[in-house]
Amino acid sequence: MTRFKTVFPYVLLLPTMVWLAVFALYPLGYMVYLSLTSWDLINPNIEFVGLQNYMNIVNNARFYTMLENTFIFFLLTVPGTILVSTLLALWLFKKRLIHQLATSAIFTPHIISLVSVSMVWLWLMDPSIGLLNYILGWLNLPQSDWIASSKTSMLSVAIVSIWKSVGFFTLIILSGLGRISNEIQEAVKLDSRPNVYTFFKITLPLLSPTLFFLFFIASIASFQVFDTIQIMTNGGPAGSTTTIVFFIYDYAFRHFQIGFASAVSIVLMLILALMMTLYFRFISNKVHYQ
Amino acid sequence: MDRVGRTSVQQPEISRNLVFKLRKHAGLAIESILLSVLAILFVFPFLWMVLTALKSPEEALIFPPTLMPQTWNFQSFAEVWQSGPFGTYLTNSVVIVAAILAAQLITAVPSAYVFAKYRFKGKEFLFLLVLLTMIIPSQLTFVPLYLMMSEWQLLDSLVPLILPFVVTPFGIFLLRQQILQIPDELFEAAKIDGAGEGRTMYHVLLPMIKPAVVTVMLLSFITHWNDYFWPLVMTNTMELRTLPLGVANLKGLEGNSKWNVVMAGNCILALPLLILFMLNSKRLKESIAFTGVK
Repeated sequence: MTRFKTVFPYVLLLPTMVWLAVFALYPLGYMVYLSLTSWDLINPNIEFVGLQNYMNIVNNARFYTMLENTFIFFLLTVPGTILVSTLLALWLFKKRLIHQLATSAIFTPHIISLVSVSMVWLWLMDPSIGLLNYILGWLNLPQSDWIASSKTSMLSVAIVSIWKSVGFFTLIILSGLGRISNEIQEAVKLDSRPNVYTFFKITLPLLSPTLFFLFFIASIASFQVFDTIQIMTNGGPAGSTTTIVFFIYDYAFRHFQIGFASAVSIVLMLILALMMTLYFRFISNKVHYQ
Repeated sequence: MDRVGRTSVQQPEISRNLVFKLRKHAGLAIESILLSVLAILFVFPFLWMVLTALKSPEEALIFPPTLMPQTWNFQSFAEVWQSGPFGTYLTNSVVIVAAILAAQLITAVPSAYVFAKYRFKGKEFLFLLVLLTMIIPSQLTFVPLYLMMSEWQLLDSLVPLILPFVVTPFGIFLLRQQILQIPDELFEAAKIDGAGEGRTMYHVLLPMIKPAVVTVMLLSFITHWNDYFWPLVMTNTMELRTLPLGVANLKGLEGNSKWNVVMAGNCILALPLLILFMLNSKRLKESIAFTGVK
C-alpha cells in the first residue's frame, strides 16, 4: 500500500512528463544539433558544419532587418496594447448594461481567427478600393498607403494586432480592477483629490501585478506574430514586415536551409530568455502585491 | 404670504434639480454615443464581412461600396463549398479540435491534482519544467517537430496536428491554482468513505473545478479551431488541411476580385465561435477574467 502511494503521483504524471520530454525538451536539443549542420530536407546526408550557420547569421543583412522589424513590432504592440486596454478598462469599469455590451463588442475580435481578421483588414486597408481610405477621403483627411508602402506597412500590421488583442487585455484588467478591495475603492471615492492623482498613487500600484502579467504575455505574443504577416503582407513590401517566425519559416520551408533556420531559432530563443530574465530582475520587484 | 415664500424658496431648488438631472442625462447620452462608436469600431469589420458575403459578385466590387446588399445573395457560400474540399476541411478541423480537447482534459486534470495535493521527490523541478514549456513558443521549435513527424512517417496523417498539443502546460498551471484552494480534508473524507483515487478525482475534484476546466477548454477551443500556422507547417496535401487554411487559400485561388466568396469562407470559419460567444458571452468573459487571477 505504501509502495503504491509513493509511486502513484508519478503514474498520474507520466503522460504529461513523457509528452514534455518528447515534444518540448527533445525538439530543443534536436534544434541545437540541426543548427550545427547543413541540410536541405531532401539530401539523405546531413553535413556537420560546426558554427558555420551562426557565422552566416552575423553576415546576413536580412537577419538584422528582421531583428529591427521584430523590435519595432514589439515596441508598437506591447506598450500600445497595454496603454489602450488600460484606458478602455478604466472607462468600461461600470455596472451599466451599455458598458457590458461595449466590453463584449471589443472582445469579439479575440474569438475570431487571425485568418479572418487579417483578410478583412487587408481589404479595409486596400489603398485604392479599401473602405478606410474611402472614409478618410470623405472626411477630407490625407489617405494612407497602409500595407502597400514599406513606410506604413509595419504600423498597419501593428494596428491590426493591437485591435485584435485589446479586448482580451481589457477583460483581464477589468477583473484586476474588480479585485481591488471594496474598502480601497470607497476610500478612493471619498478622497477629494483629482482622479489622476488617485489613479497613479492607488489604482496603478494595485493593478501592477496584473499589468506585469499582461506585459509578459504581450511580449511573448509579439515574438510569435505570423498569421497576420503571412496573409496581409507576405513579409513585404521590400522585407519591411519580415519578423522572426516568418523569417524562420521562410528559410526552413521556402529556401530549405534547415541548419540556418535552426540557428536563427536558437539565437532568438536566447534573446527571449535574456529578455525574460531582465523582466523578472528589474520589473517584477517594482510590482506591488496587495 | 406663507405660500409665496415657500414657492420662492422651492423654485430655484426645482430648477437646480432639473439642471442636475438634465446634465446627468446629457452626460449619459454622450457616453452612450461614445460607447456605441467604440463598439462599432470593433464589430463593424465582422459585420462588413457578413454583408459582403451576402452581396452579388458585381456588387462586392462597386466603389464606393454599398453598405447593405441590394439583393441578398447566398450564392457565394455555395461557391466556397465548390471551390475546394471544404467538407474535408471542416471534418479535419472538428476531429483535430475534439481530439486535442479530450486529450488535454485527460492529461491536465490528474497532473494539476498531483502538483497541487501530493508531496513527492522532484515535484518542484517537474513543475518548473511545465512552467518553462509554457514560455517556449511552438512557433520557434516547429522545424525539429516537423522533422520528428517526418521521421516517424506521420506527415500523411492528422497526428502531427494533434500530438504536439495533447498536453496543455498553461491548463495544468491554471487548474493547479484552483485545486490548491480546495481544503485537503475534502479528499481525505472521500478516501475514508472508501472512494479510490479515480472516484475521488471524478466525483469530488471534477465538480469543484468545473469552471476552471470549462475555461481551459474554451480557450483551447478558440486557439485550435483558429490555428493557421501549425496546419500550414505540418500538412502538404489538401486532404489533411483544416478550415483556416482552406479559407486563407480562397484569396490565392480567386485573386483579389471575388471578395464576396472570400468573406463567405470567413463567415463559415467564424460562425461556430460567434454562436458560442453569443450563447455564452458572460461565461466566456468570466473565463478570460479568470486567467488573470494568479
